[in-house]
Amino acid sequence: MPETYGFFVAGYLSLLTLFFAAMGYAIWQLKAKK
Amino acid sequence: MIWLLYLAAALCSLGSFAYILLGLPPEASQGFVQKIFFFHVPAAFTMYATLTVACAASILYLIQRRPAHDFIARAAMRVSFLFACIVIFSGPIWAKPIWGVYWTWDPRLTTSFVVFVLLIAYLSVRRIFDSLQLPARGALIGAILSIFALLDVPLIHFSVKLWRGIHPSVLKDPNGLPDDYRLGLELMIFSFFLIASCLFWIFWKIEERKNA
Repeated sequence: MPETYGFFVAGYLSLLTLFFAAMGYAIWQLKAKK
Repeated sequence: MIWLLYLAAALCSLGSFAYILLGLPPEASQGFVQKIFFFHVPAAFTMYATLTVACAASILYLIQRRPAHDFIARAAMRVSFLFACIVIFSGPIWAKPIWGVYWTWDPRLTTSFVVFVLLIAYLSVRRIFDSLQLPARGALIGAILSIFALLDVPLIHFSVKLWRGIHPSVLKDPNGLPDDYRLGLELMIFSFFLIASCLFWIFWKIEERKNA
């Protein structure tokens, strides 16, 4: 179980980083093309 | 302003995710799978909030017929759909090990499914009427659909008490949640609200730009 848990946390953090990067890029694009 | 909101959402999410995944001890009887609670419940509350925004904007649209209100409603319905997906898909992952089945037609699950279908209907109707070059008609039907979606929210929330379903209801129960778990839940609700606000801003601006 601990290995699965570590894998889950790592996977989750990667997805979260990707999500925020995408959201930041979208905001930046919307702000830039005013 | 939006960058501040974005920063707050990122920091808050990271902090609260770290707290619930690494800081909180695993629940005694359910173990690891209980962590889904910290995503499922905040997503449901966020869905309620965005549906309320969508419904308020839709009512204003029905009264005044100003496209600006429709943009807000459509953006809020899109965000609602994303959070409804989290609710609908995270529930079964928890239900399988705990209840033994992925899905059952419990009152709360059924009423949540109705909102999910209404959200799909809303997005499909808007897309179809846009492609038929009848966006005003799509906005009108969409506004009515979003009011129906909000009418279902009290049914979801009180369904467990009303129809004695099997879905757990721990928030009002004084012995339902220990203090550290409640803090984790509140942090997650706050983070999800911040994320939803950022997403709403993005969808709203896209909507404004498409119709400029």
